[in-house]
Amino acid sequence: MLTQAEIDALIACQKRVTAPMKRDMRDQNGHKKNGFSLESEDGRHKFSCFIRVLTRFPENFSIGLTYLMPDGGSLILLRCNGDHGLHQNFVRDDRSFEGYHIHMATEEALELDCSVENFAEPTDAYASWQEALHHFLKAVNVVDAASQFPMTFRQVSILERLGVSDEQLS
Amino acid sequence: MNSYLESLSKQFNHHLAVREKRPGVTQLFVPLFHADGDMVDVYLEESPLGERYVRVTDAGATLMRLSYDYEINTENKERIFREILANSRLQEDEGAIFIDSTIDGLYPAILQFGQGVAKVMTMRHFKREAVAGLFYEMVSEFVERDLAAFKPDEKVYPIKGRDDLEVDFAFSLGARPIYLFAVKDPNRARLATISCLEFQRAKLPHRSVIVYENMEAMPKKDLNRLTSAADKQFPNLPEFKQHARDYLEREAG
Repeated sequence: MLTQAEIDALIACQKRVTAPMKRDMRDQNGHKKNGFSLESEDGRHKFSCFIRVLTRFPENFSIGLTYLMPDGGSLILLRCNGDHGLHQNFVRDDRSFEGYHIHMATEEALELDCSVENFAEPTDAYASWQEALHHFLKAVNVVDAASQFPMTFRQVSILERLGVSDEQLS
Repeated sequence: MNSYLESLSKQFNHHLAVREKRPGVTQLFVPLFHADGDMVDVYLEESPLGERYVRVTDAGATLMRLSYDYEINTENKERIFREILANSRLQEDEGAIFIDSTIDGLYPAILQFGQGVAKVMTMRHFKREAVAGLFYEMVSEFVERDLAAFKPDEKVYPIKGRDDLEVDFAFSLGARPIYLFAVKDPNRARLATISCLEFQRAKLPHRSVIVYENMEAMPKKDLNRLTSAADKQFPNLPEFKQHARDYLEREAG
C-alpha cells in the first residue's frame, strides 16, 4: 500500500507525454472524452490521464491522473473537478462544499478502503476544463506540456493578455 | 412541480437544496453520495409523459464518472449494465440515466434512482468470478489503456484472404510485428496454434505472443502444441500486466 509520501512523490515527479491526447474530443454516452499517457522522467512510473466533460453541462468535468501500478492495478491520484454540485469529505475532515474542487489520493483513504481520492479541496484555480487542464499539467509536473498542449497554453496566454494574472491562473 | 418541493424537502428531513441549473432544469442537492464524496447528480426536468410527471435524470453524469477508470465497451459489459438498469427500473437515453415519476411519487423515485446509479458505479469493482467472460475485455482494456504508447491495432488479419486467422492485437514495433493472442480455453488455444503455424508457413516476419487466462488449467496436449508454435507466453493476466511493457520495449529495441 502506498504511503502519503509515495503518493505525493508520484504526483510531483517530473513526467513526459508518451501518448498525446487526440486532436478532437470524442462524444460518448452524453459526455466528451479524451486522454493521454505519461511516464516519469526516470522511466520507473507510468500514468494514464483522462479528460471528461459532460455534454449538457460543460461546467461538470473531470481531469485525472491515474497511476498504473506494476502489479496491473491502478489508482487515481489527482482529479481536477468542475462545478457539479456538492462534495463531502469522508477522510481528514468532514467539510462539504460546492464549486470547483480537486480530489487527491490519501493514505487514510487507502487504509479505510474507501475511494482513494475521496479527499478534496475547493479551488479557484480554474473555471473551465481548458483552464483546468493547464492547471493539471503544472500540478502533475509535465515537463513537455507547452510543446505537447500548445492550444492549452495559447488559451492561457490570451487570458494573460486580457489582464488575468499568473497568480490568478495558478 | 414547485409546490411539491416543500413536501419533498420534508420527506428528505429538510436535507435538500434546490438550484436552477438551466431554464427548465432543477438540480437537487440530496444527501446521496458516490464513494469519492461527490454528491449524486440529480436533476429534475419536464417528462415527455406529460405535466403530471417529472423526469429524474443524471444528464449523463454517472456514465461519465464510471468512465474515469471503467468503460462499458463490450457486449458483456453492456449486457450487465442493461440488467442493472432493468432491475432498478431505470432507463437510459444517450448516456443519461433517468426515471419518469409522478409528482406524488418523487421521493421514492429519487431514492430508487440513487440506488440504481450506485449499482451502476459498482461495475468497476466486479470480481472476475462474478462476471463470466471478462478475460478478453480485461486484456483489451489493459492493452488499450496501458500499452497505448505501442500503438496497438485490434483484430488484425495478417494473411490476406484468411479471415479465419485473426490476431487479437498487433503491435508494429519494427521489422517484426508482435501478434498477441488472448487464450481463455482449449478452442482458443487451438485457433492460436493454427494461426501461428500458418504465419510461419507463409514466412511472415512476426513474433507471436500468448497471454493465457490460466496456463495451468490448459489441457496438456493443447498447451504443448501452442508452446511449440508460439514465440512467447505469459501464463496469466497479472503476469502479462506486470511484464508486457518491458517486453514490448525490448522488442522495440
